[in-house]
Amino acid sequence: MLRVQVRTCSINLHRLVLLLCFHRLVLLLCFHRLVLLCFHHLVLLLCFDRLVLLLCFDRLVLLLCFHRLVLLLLCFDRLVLLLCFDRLVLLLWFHRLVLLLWFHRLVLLLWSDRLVLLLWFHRLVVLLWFHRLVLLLWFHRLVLLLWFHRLVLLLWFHRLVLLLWFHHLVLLWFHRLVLQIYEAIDNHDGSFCAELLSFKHPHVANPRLQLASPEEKCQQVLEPPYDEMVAAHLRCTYAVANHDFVEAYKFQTLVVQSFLRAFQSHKEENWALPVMFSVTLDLRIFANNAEQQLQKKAKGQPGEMLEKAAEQLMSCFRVCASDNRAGIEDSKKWGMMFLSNQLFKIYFKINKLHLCKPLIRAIDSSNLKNDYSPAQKVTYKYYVGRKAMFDSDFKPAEEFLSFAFHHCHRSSQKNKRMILIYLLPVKMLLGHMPTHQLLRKYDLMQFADVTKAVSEGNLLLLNEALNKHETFFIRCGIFLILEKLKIITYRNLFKKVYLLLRTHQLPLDAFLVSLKMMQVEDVDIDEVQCILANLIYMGHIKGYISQQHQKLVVSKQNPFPPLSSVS
Amino acid sequence: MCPARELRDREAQNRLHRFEMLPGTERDRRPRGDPLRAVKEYSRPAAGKDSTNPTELRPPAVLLKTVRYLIDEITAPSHQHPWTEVYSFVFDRLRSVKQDMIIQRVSGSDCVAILERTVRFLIYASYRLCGEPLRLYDPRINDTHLQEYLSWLLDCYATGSEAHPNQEEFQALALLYNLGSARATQHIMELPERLRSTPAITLALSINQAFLERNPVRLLRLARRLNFLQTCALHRHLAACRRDLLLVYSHGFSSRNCRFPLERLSQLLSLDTLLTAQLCQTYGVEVNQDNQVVFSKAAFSEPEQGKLHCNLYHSIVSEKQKDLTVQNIIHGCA
Repeated sequence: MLRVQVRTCSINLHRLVLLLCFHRLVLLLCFHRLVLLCFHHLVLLLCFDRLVLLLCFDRLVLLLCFHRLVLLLLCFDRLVLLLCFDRLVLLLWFHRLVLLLWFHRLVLLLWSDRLVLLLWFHRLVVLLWFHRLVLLLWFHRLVLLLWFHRLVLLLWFHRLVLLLWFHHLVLLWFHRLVLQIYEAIDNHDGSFCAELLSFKHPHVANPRLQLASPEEKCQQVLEPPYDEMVAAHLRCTYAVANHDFVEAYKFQTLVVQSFLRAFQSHKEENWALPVMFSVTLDLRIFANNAEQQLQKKAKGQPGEMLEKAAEQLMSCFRVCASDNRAGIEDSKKWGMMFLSNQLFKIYFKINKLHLCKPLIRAIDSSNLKNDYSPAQKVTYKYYVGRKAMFDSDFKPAEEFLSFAFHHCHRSSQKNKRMILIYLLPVKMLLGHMPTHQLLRKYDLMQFADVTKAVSEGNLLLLNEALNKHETFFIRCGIFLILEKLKIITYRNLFKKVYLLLRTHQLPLDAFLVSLKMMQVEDVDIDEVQCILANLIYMGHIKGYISQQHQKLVVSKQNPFPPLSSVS
Repeated sequence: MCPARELRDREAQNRLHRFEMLPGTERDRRPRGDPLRAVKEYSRPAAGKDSTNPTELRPPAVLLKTVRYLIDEITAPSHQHPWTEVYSFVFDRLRSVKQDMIIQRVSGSDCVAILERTVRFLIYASYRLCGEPLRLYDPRINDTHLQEYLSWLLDCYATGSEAHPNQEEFQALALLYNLGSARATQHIMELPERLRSTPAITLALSINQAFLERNPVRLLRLARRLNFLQTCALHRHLAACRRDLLLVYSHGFSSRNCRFPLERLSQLLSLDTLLTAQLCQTYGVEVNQDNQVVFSKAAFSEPEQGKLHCNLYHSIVSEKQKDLTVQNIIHGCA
């Protein structure tokens, strides 16, 4: 500041000195003019006037140059003004030139009356005016260019400013989310916290939250272990945005682990249960997606990631199940059924059903088992029913699956259909055939032929139906159970034979013929005896076989008891 | 087949097996080991023990040669030593082969060849040593290891890209060995159609279906079509099968006045009449003087533990062996 001021002063001094020199010169000339006047020499007068004017002009020009210099030194980016001055200076030079020429003209006029010269001078003048115009335009153009550059520079600066503002905004959003989580934890608001940490919430699509290293920010606001949890969650959103589910799974594991540490430290309170539900659900989903990604790349063992996820969920389950101190309202046991359902889903996927047993035992022995929400109960009964089916306990399986089917909400058609796929074979084994209407309503026409075949005792149709929809049945895992329907079909077929012959002593040949009619290959009388003996053993037929007479003797009362009463 | 260091150590500690000693030095106080006959033994992995030393590991080609040696020179020839000893030696050495394979993560055709022979050996052994006292042969240990080898082999088939000529044989063997298991059946059902329609697997599936339907007559009839090794795999279920037959017939033919001819029953059970009578006796089914069986619901009873000697009823299996040599059976050339 001081330097500039000193400079300005020195410049002003220089200016003043020059001004004085010029004034002196001008005064001198005026004096000389006056002297000349005394001599009445007009021409000389004019010359002097001309000189004076020239000097005035020079003075003006120099003044302007100085002003320009001053401005240069004071304001560096006032290029526009500089140019204006340049323009002005040039203008003045031109004016000066013009005036010079005018004087020359005038002088020549006075000296001679040569028109040609006049015209020549006029022409010169016009040319110079023209050049002046051109130069003006050129300067205007330069000015505009510089205005344009200024605009560009301005925009570039604005952009820089905007970027910085943007980052500031990112940090603000980030800060906002972390603060929201902190508040939610402070207020023990489990459901809001769960939303903020879940992947169903729209905040995960926000690109502003996808930071690669959010740890420091989280540590500033939250206490451990919540800071690790939120940092891992944010890293997870980043990974999900890049569609790298293996990484996402790893970070979600960290989320679950740090959450579990926090959860364990909550003595006698269970507000964080919704958070547990959402993080474990996301863990399972990411494990599924990661498995699919690995399968595509043909790396890793199938089921590896899901098994690890199952171990994590099991540790959560243990924390919930071992909460004995708190009262019913604050007990963590309310989380047991949800976790069991998640674990069932994993165990069914990796085909390790024997691991379901301890979970079922734990839930059965708890006193809360009828008080869970209907949705959780329906899912639980569905999986327990499927397990019972797999263990060939058909009566309990029917009970569980019927419960699930009836209590499943009317609008979840897909779930109802899934339950029905497993309920139908069980009911058919117990002798209850579904109606056509039901099958059409839930789009399960694959069972239509099977139903028809079993109720009619038509083995041929049954084999055909099982072969036709083999892939569907195998995929659902019910093919083997449907094969068990063959025994029911035999029973129905033999009942028809009994009804046709209307006697209590049925020749074994009749059964053989009926089987041959159904195109059952390579069956002989020994096998017929065996099949009949099996039906008698299972209680589907009341009677006995006589080897000597080759007859089946059935009881006079109710020889073919109804299917629901047997087994 | 054995690292030099191990041979020296075992020689010094007098831990050589009879089959590894230099002929002529067996009776010495410190028998000498024959480097051409010594095989690396199985040692349990432990903390601090470095099993991954490359000088001690045998590459896959050597492992296959070892397995061939074990079968051709040890298993196949008839010894004066009881076969239980042969079995325990070969079992242990095969276990060390498996350990080497796991450490080196062997896969591909070598791995498959070794596993196939091992599986065949164990299935044959499960039949041949059936009934031996527990201290010489434990069927449960054999079963555990056989299941492990089988699942590894089936994994190799599932993940490998090259065609395996013996795949259908082993898929069928796996199903027959695990008859009635839902997991095994589901696995077979998930095989590609082309594989499932091969004769071996179709037959195994029908036998499985007959077992699940509880139709022992059909099962035993179909079992006659199996070859020797498949019957060995099936043989541990035959006892249950026969029991089912007697149980079901006890209920089906349960009538005081009815009689069932014994020859008919023995035909169904694929046994001769004497053995059938003996079997009936074990299960409490009455056989009267005219060789007629009197079935009765109440009479049927489960035999006590240890009363049922499975190896008495092996005729269905042994008659298929005929002139097959053990070597051919295990190498699969039969």
